[in-house]
Amino acid sequence: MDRILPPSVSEEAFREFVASAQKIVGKDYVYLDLEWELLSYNDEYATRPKELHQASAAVAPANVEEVQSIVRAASQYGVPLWPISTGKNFAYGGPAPRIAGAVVLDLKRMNRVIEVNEKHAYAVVEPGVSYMDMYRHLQNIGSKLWIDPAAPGWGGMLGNLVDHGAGYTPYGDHLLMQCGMEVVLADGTITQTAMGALPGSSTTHLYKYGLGPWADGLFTQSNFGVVTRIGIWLMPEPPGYTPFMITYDREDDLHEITERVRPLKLNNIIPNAATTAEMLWEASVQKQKRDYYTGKGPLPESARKKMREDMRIGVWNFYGAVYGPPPVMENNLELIRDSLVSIPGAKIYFDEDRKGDVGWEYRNKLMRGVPNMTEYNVMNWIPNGGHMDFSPISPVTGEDAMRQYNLIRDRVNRAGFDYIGEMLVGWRDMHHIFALVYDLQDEDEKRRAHALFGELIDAAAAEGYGEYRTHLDFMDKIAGTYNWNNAAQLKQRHRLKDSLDPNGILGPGKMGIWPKQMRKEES
Amino acid sequence: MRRLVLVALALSLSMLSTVSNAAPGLDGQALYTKYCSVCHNRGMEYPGTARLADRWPDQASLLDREGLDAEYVRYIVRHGFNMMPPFRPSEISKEELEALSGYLASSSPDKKKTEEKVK
Repeated sequence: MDRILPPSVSEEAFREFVASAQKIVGKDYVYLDLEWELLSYNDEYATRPKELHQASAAVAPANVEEVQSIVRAASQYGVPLWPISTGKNFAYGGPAPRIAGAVVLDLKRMNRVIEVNEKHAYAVVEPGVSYMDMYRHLQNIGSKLWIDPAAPGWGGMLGNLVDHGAGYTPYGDHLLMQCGMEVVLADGTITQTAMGALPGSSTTHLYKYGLGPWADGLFTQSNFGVVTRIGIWLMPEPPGYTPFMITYDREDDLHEITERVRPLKLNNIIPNAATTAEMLWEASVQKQKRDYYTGKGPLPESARKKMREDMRIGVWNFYGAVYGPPPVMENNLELIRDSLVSIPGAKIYFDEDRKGDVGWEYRNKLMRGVPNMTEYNVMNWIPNGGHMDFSPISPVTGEDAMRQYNLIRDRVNRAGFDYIGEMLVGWRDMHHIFALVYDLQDEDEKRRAHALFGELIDAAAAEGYGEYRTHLDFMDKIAGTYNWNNAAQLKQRHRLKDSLDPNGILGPGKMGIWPKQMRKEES
Repeated sequence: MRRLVLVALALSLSMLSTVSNAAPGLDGQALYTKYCSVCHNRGMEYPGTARLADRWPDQASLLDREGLDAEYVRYIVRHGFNMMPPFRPSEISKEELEALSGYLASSSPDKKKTEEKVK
C-alpha cells in the first residue's frame, strides 16, 4: 500500500485538513500509518485490488460536536468523508470507502447506550454500539427487552439499520423499528428528525413521523448526512418462545413451501423472519466441503445426499418460531403443522430434537435475539474463504422463489461455485440471500466471482428483480438498474445531494449517488 | 505474498522468548471476552476456532493455544488473517492491544479457565 491523497485535493490542503482533524479529535485518533492503522480500513474480502477502496486517512471522533467540526473542516478543504459505524459491513465492503482516497469518518468511538427505556421498550444508541455490546448491556442491567441482531453479532445496531439490514425475531425489519434520529448535515448543522424536532418532546422514540415529510429514510443507504444517534424499538421478552425447523426432501418443494409461508406471514401466525435455507447453508456452518468432495466445481449430488443424511437436513430447511403465552403458541403451531408439515416428506424438529447441532443452535439464538458469530462459518466451507452477498427482493410466491433459485443456482454452478442461499420472508417481500464464497488466495477465483456477481445483477434485473443492498463495487451497477423513466429516481436523489451537500463531501458514490463534481453527465 | 510474509514473521517470532507485555491497568482476560471470545472460544460454533482446528486440532481455541507470541498476536489483530478481518485502532486501542496480546501469549491457569459463552 502506498500513501494516497483524496481525489482533487492537493498535498498541502490534505496536510491542513489533517492538522485540523488532529486539533479536533486529538492526534491519537487521526490514523495515517499505512501498515498498522490504515490497512485495517481495507475491505478484507475484496475480489479486486484493495487499493481501489483504500482510505487516505481515518478520523475517529468521540462525540457529535467533534463530528460537526470534522464535517466543517472537510467541507473547507474539499476532503471527501466516508462515514462508518462499527465497520463490520463485511460482504458489502466492510469499513472501506467507495472511492480511493476518501477519509473514513470512523464513529466506533461513539459507543454510548444513551437510554434503555423499559417502560416503552426502546433504546437510543450511538453508532459504535454493536449487537454484542447491547446484549451484554441489557444483561448487565437485568433488562427484559430483546434485541434483534444481524447474523454476525459484531455488527452495529445503527449501521445495520441504516443499511436496511434485517434480523430473525419479530422485530427483524430493522428500519421499521427505528424511531427518532440525530443527523449531522454536510454544513455541520445538527438536526433531530420527526418528533425530536419538537423542543421538550416526550415522544421522540415513540412516534415515528412527527409533522410534515418523514425524512428519516433519506438518511439510510445514502450520503445526505451523518447519523449520530438513533432510537430503536426493542421487543419485550415474551412469556414463551418455541423455535422449530422443518426439513424438505425435494428441490421443487421450495415452490410449495413459499406458497404456504405467505398466508402464515400475512396473518402473523409466524411473526418472525420465516427462513427457507438451502442445504449448503446448513452444511457450510458446520462442515467443510473437502470432507465430502475434493474435486473442482460445485458439490455433486452424491456428496449432497451423504451430507443430508449425516446432518439430518433437507434440501430445504425452514426455520421459524412462535412467541407468546403457551395457548397462543400451541394454537399457532397447530396451524403451522397443518400447513407446512403436510407437504410430503416434511419433518418437523424442536429444540430437544437437535441439541448440539451447530446449525440449529445459532438460528435458535438469533430467533430469540442472542447475538453470535456462527454464521461466519459459511466462509469455512473452503480454506481461505471470503464472501459477498447477492440479495435480490421478490414477491412471496412459489413461482418467484423457483425462478430466482434457478436463475442464480444455474449461473453460480456454471461459474464453478456452490449455491449457498436462503430466502427470508418479511411481511410481503422475500429477501433472497446468496452468499458467494470464494478463495481469498486465488486471484482467478476472485476474478470469476466478481464477473459472476455482475452477471447475476443483469440476469435478475432482466426478470424484474432488484437488490436491496450491495457491495461497494456494485453500487453504481445496481443503482443503474433502478432506471424507470430515464432514471428519474436517481436524478431526484442527485438534486437532493446537490442541495444538502453542495460541496459533495459526504460518502461519494454511496448507492450510486455522486456529488456533481464526480458525476457523469445525466441527460 | 502476504501469506509468505505472515509465515516468515511467525517463524521469526517463534524464536523469540514469550514475554507477557500486558499493559498495566487493563484486564487482558476481559478484553479477550469482549473482542475475541465470540469467534475463538471452545467449540465448532465459533468460526475462528473451527478454522484453526485444521492446523491446531488440539488447541483450536485461543484459550488453549500454547506458545503464542504477543508480537504475532498484535500483527494478526492489525492485519487480519484469512477470514479474520483486521481490527481498527478505533476498536482496539494500542494499550488494549498490548494487554490483550500479553494475555493471549500467557499460559496462565486463568487463561485456561476463561470462557464466556453468549447465552
